[in-house]
Amino acid sequence: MLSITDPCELKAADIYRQARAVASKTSRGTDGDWYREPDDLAWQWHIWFDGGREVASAAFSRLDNQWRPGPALPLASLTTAENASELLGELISTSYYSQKPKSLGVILHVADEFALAEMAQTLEAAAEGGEDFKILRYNLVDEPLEMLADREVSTDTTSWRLLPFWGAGPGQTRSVAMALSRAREPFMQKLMAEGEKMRLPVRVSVTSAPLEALAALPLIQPEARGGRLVVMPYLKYTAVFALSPEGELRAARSLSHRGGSLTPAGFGDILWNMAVAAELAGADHAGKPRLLLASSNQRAVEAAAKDLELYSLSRQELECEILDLGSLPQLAAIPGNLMELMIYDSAAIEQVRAGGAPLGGTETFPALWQGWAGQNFMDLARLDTLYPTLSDLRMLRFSTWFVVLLVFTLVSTGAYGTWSLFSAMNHPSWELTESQVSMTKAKHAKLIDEQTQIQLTEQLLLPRSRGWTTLEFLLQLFPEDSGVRLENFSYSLEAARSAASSSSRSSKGSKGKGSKNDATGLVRNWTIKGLVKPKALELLNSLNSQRGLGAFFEQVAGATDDPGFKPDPARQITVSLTQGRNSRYDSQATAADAARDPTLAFPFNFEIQISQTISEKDTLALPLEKPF
Amino acid sequence: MSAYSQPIIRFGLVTPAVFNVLLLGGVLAALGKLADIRKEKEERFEEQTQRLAAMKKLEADIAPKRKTFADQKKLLETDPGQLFTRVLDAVLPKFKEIELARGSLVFPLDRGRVARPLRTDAARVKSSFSGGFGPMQEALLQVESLMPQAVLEDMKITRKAHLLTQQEHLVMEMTHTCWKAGEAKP
Repeated sequence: MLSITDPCELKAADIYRQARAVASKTSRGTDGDWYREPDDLAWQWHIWFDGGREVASAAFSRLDNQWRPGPALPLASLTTAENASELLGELISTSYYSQKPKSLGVILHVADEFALAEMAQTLEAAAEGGEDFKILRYNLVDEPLEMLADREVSTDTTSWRLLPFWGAGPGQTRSVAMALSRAREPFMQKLMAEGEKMRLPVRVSVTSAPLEALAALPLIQPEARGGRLVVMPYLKYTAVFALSPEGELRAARSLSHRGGSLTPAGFGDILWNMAVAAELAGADHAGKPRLLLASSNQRAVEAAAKDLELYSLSRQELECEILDLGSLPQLAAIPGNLMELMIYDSAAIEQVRAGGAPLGGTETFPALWQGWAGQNFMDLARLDTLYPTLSDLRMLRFSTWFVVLLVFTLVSTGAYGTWSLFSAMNHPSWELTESQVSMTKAKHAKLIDEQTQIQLTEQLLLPRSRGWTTLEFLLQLFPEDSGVRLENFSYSLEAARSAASSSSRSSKGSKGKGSKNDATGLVRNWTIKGLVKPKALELLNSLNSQRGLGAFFEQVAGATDDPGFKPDPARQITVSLTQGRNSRYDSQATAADAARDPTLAFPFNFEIQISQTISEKDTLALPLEKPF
Repeated sequence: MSAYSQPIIRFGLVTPAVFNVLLLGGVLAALGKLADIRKEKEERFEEQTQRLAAMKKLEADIAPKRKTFADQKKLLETDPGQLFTRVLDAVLPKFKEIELARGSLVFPLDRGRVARPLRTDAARVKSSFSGGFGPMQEALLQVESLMPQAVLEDMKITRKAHLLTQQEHLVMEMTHTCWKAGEAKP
């Protein structure tokens, strides 16, 4: 059993814990019926009690607007709240409803008491409109002692609800407080507790039967008009309501029956005076007051009618109309022909509204139908504050999902993290240490260094200028008996780059050790001077062209296998040939003269300068860096 | 808002959210750190793998050259002047004096026009010979084959007549720049 403590007495953490307990142990979080008014629920149980030996019981299904006799409720059960669970168990079967109830609205129509109390004058005077009545109504529920004229009352035993007089004229009382003892509340609370145990929403209401009966008047007598007193005799009292000619409620009285009588003492006088006070009788008005007698207690109606008939004959004439509830077709379906139950049939109300009943157009009756007639004398709202509201429980449910989502996110992230760690640890990179990397780096650097050294050494030692090939160059240029006498030959090789520019350049890019750019081109120069016979002039002339010179270099390269002579687009070869007459030439010289001085036999002299430029991008360029 | 609303918001939403955010923050921070470490390690591993592959390639390239390089290094470490002299001493006796005779052999100290811009150490050998063309070429072939570090810097060939016999012969002067391993260039 869920034990609920007033949240005002709990700390925040305990309130949260209690909310969770309510959410888990009851169906409040999922069933909105826990928060609806009893008369809004589809399955209703109406209990009517007038202080007699019998308790009327009726089951009403709003789903099909069907009334059925309810389970028998012994008077003792109503008084002592015993057998509540058995009654509830019986009710939630399909015996009383077309389908098994999922919730139950229990409405106790109290017809054994109807007490009216005056409201405090200042507040009474303040109430002037519909909105003010609502404020007064809620204030009377919350602070009854502040609102009542008589403040010497006990809120523990009695509860009050407002009855506005919509038709009250200036200077007339505008409202009264209806009082009901709280003696029946334990039974209703017991039903609620049993419902909670069964996870079945049980919503209860304690209502005043005479007010409901007044509200039902246009429903059972659509043609009824105002300007009369509505007299409702019950077993222990008679309730009288004065309706203005417009049909508005102007006054109400409760007349107690004494000494086992079914009518109050001085009944006729009271009604006459009330009619006069309500301006429904007297010379200025219609004359004789009109009365309507209606009650579920037929004996009381008959007694009242008899009493009033005698009064009418002996004292003042009254126009009395008696409503025979048993004969009304509207009440035929309602167990016991209880007119108080009519107002819970919304279809009947809509029918009267649509039918244009005179009283349906007043302010009083629509207000009564909209909740004033069925005011709950049990402070259900105060009980509801003990529990979390539906939105609280929805928020709690959302919070549960939210927490689940958060935990899922956390667990997923954690799982992903674990997987990531596992995956990372299983990767070979996890085992690789910094020292291993450093060692490999060192080895790599060493290998690169070694490769650079090898490349530089290879490059440095390439055959780019050799003495024997230079001599072969001469031999290839002027073979034996070619008609050329070599007088002077010089050859030079020099680096194309100066020392200064190379040092500045290499200091800028010192890291590019051994790279192609860190090299210097070369310039080779051949200068040949000599004498030539006419037959060799053609040979010289063939050299004095790029094609001829290129072919000659190719020829030397082939003969010596020296790559330095191989023609290449990156290598530039230039030639300069100067020819002239040999001043020593003697055409008359004999062989002996020529043997003594060979220069006499050569008519021409020449000087040829050949230059080869090897660029720094050439494979034969000299590396600037030292290999090691 | 009922008496329950605030405690539910506080304990049902805010507290778990804050708690979760803190935990999640911690986990995410740890994950971020792990990701950083992993990325760093994997990058290092990738680098290491590439480096090892490069080393393998380098090794494959270098290995067959290592022996030659060792020989070349040894050759460069030998004093070129001495080597040049030794080779000439070994070659010249093959020729008669009239065929090829050494004139002079000097070792200039300057770096010459070839070695000047280079950082590589070098020694120059200036030599002169008199004789015929063929013997000179053969002698040079011998010397330069044994001394690949020798680069001919200049050569001059002139005709000269013998003072007594008036017979012509060639005078050949040449300078070789020889690379060497040695002290660093000042």
